[in-house]
Parts: sequence; C-alpha cells; structure tokens
Amino acid sequence: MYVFNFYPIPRKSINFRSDVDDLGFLRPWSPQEESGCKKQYEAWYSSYLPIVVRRRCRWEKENPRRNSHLLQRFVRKGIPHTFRKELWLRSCPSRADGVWQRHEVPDEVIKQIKLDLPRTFPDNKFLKTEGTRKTLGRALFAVAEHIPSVGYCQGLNFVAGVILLVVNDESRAIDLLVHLVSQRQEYYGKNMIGLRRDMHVLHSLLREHCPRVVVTLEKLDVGLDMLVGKWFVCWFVESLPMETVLRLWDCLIYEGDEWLFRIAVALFRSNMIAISSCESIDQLMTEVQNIGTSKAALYCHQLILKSAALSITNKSIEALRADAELAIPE
Amino acid sequence: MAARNAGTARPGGPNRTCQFKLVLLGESAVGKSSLVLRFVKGQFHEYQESTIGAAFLTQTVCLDDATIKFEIWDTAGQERYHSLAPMYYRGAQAAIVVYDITNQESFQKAKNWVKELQRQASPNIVMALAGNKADVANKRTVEYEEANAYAEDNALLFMETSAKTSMNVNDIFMAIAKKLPIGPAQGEPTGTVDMNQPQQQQKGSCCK
Ligand SMILES: Nc1nc2c(ncn2[C@@H]2O[C@H](COP(=O)(O)OP(=O)(O)OP(=O)(O)O)[C@@H](O)[C@H]2O)c(=O)[nH]1
Ligand SMILES: [Mg+2]
Repeated sequence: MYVFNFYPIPRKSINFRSDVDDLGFLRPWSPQEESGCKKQYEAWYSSYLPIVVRRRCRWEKENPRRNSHLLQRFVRKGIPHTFRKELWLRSCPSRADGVWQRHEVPDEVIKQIKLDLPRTFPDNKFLKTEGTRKTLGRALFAVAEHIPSVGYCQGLNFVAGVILLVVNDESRAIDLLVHLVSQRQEYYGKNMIGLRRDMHVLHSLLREHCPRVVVTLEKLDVGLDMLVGKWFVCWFVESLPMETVLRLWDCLIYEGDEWLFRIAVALFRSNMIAISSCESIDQLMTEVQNIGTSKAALYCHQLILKSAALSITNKSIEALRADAELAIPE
Repeated sequence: MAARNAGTARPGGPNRTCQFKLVLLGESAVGKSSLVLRFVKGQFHEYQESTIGAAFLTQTVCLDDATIKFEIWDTAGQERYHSLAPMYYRGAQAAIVVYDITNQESFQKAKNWVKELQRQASPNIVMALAGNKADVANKRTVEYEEANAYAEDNALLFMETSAKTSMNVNDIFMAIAKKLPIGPAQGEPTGTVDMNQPQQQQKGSCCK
C-alpha cells in the first residue's frame, strides 16, 4: 500500500522513530534506516511545518468562520487539524433529522461489504482491529441503507476509512459519509455513469489546460478512465500522500467537485513534460503512477495554491457535464 | 514450488522482445491481484486491498526464441466495474479468467466472462482459465474435472493455481507466453481471421 502521511501537531514534534503516523498509517520507510524517500519527506516536512504552525495561529486569532469569503480563503490554505472535524461537519445534516429514508439492504450487498472490510487499509494500525472493522462495516451499511441506488461500490471502503479516522466519532462520521456520497451518487451507481461522464469532462479540461497531454493520450489510444478513474472514485485517497488528500478534502467538502478537477489538472500540468513524451502505454502508465510520489504531489500547500489559480469552477464543470452526458452511451 | 525467477528475462539475450497486453477478469476477491503480485513480485498478502478500476503492472518472461513482456491489466471484480471492462480487454492478446475453487458462483461468473470475450475480444486472443485458491482444497465446491471439461470445450488453457503457495502461477503465464504468436513479424496468419476487425488482426503479432 502506498500511503505517505502525517498529521501535523504543532508544538509537539512528529516522532520520526515511530512506524506509524497519527492516523495509523505505516510510514513509507522503515524508521530505522535512511532512504531517499525519507530524506525527501523530511525536507518537505521541514518546509511545511512552519506553514502549519502559522495557519493555526491565524485561525485562532482571526476566527474565519464569521465570514464565508474569509473562510474560503482560510480553508484553501489548510484547516488546522484541531478544527478539521468541526469544519468538515459544518453543513452536514444528521441522519437523525430524517433527511434520508431507510431502505432494505440486499444480502448480496452485505456480503460484498463484509468481503472488503479486511481489504481496506489492511496495514492501518486503527483499521486492522476487529472493532474498527465493524465500525467500517456499519458505515458502509448506512450508505447502502440510505442510498439504495449506490448500495455498495468498491472504493467507498477507502473513502469511509479516511472519514472514520479523521472524524473519530462513529455517528457523525457516518453522517458525513452518507452526505458526501449522496452528493456524488451517480459515480457509484450501477453503471458508474457519473464517473464516465466526469472522465469526459476531465478530457475537455485537459484539452484546454494541457493539450500536449491530450495529444499523447489520443496517440496511444488510452482513456482517462484507465489512467485516473481511481482518483475520482476514491477522491485521491491511495493515489496521493495522505496530507495532500486531507488538504484537498478540506476544499472539496467546503467548495465541491471543482476541486477534484482542479487537482487532477494541476497534477497533469506539473508532470506534463514527462507524460507527453511517453511513447508507449507502458511508459505512460509508469509516469501516471509516479505522479503520486512526485514532488508536486508531496508539496501539498503549493499544489493547492496552484490548483486554486486554475480557472475551473463548479459552474464551468456543470456546463461541461451537460455536454458530456450527451456523449456517453448508457 | 515454482521458483520465482523461473522464466524471467536474461538481459541482453540475442532474441527478440515482444510485448503483449494481458487482462485479468473475474469476480471480486477470487485472487486476481494476488496472482499478479505473486507473478510479478513473488509476494502474497493475506489481506490484499480491493482493486479500484484497474492496476497496471509489467513482467518479462523468457522463452527459447523470444523474450515476452506482459503488460498486465488487473481489473476490479465488482459487477458495476463491468461497464469499464471492454476498455481493458480491447486489443488484448491474452486473458486470464479467474475463479475461486471454493466458490461455485465465481465459476459461473468466469463462464460469463469467457462468453463475453468470445463475442467481443480480439478473435485470436489466448484465453486461460485459472481455478485459484487451490490450497484450500478442503473447501472446494468446483471440481477439477468439471472446470477442465469446460475449458476443453472452449479451447481454453486451464490450471488450478494458488497465489498463496505459488502453485502453477508462473506456469500459467508461461503457458500463455508459449501460445502467443511471436512471429514471424509479418504476414503469417496466427489465428482465425475476422473480416470485421481488420485492425485487431494486425495486433496479433507484435514483435518489433
Ligand atoms: N488461501 C488463498 N487465499 C487467496 C489466494 N489468492 C488470493 N487469496 C486471498 O483472497 C483475497 C482476495 O484476493 P485478491 O487478489 O484481492 O482478489 P481480486 O480478485 O483481486 O479482488 P478484486 O480486486 O476485489 O477484484 C485476499 O485476501 C487474498 O489474500 C490463494 O491462492 N489462496
Ligand atoms: Mg484485485
């Protein structure tokens, strides 16, 4: 499993001797040995820590919640982990409010969920215990119960895992999971129409923002679904370093799907030369798989700022989606 | 137990290198990713993460007269990912359809995949059927004879495999490698010619 993660706790310095980080993921190196990977990570970390500390002071001093414009700016610069849970849950309805109806869950769906419980972040310190696996099972069951058109779709197990680890409160974590999945339910339905539609949308965006990549894709006759479908199904979990995922989710939850596209386009742009010089599918796949470990992916603060500067909005996405819907076969 | 390096490439050998696209299909949790992980890295994980979309890996094997590089697409098994599958088997020269010998339903699904490939994939695709998890024979619900007879009727390569013990894992890939059309590079027909799919016929032999 590839997870490159840490959870910043200002003032208490990170324990690089420990095998796992604060969300329970294995560090990408053995803590005892020097590796290029560790060096790169430490270099990034020492540049990132001051940013984290500064952001937290600003949040405490300025209370950005009082004004939505200010809040957007603050969210994009990263929600300090002490505020993350609160902000993620900010506009999330509770199941107790009766927003969602309950439906019968077919046995087949329960069977599929059960199969995937031990197959979800099997190395994570917290998720590999029997108790947390059961919690994960209840979370996925709740999605099936409230969103019958989705039932269970593989990939949601990873999304649910991250939500549980961050929110760390079963009932509210489930609320958030159901809420976020319901906003993207056409991704996870029977034919995954939403995913295919959004791959068309991404294709159009790439044509505009990095045409050389599109030329290469077309030359090699590869669809974006094959390359980056997982990015969208799992909202970049398991494809990018965990801190980058959390920073992206801050924006995604607060502002919406435009952020999936912003990040995807920014990543392609940062790796454009390597990608556009590929001459075989083999090379292309290797380059795309390398994006997750690229410097652009690790330096999350810079990545978010670069993505924020792209002219991609929810409104432009909706227009492109309407066009794409006409183009995809059932 | 098959040695891990059996059949891997000798660098700098005099022979040609051919690339072939191979796709793995089959129900979720039958062990597709585990077979690939065993073949490519010699590893096995008790809890293998579910595959989302598909994973791509490569591995090279050596035959007497050629080196074969497999470009392996390991697909997601869940039913709803089925709509994405044609992308992966389009233009593939080989396919391994996997079922779990302890799961009768997965064998039925495997038959459906075979049918779909016979209809939609390239006509000269080399197809293999793998009955995986052969190490848990005490829970077997699909008999060897039954699967073998089915494979014979449909002209499939067939082996029971175990990603856990590595039984028959390299062997099934090697058996496929031996059936692939490695040349001569031009002209010679390598299978049934389907007049409706002229481009795919070209891809049948791909030595450079
Ligand atoms: N005993 C035994 N278990 C196996 C074998 N192969 C795979 N498994 C186990 O079966 C489970 C599923 O294996 P995967 O390789 O993830 O299955 P998959 O077909 O790739 O599943 P999807 O990615 O969901 O489509 C894992 O927990 C493996 O450890 C085998 O040969 N013997
Ligand atoms: Mg798999």
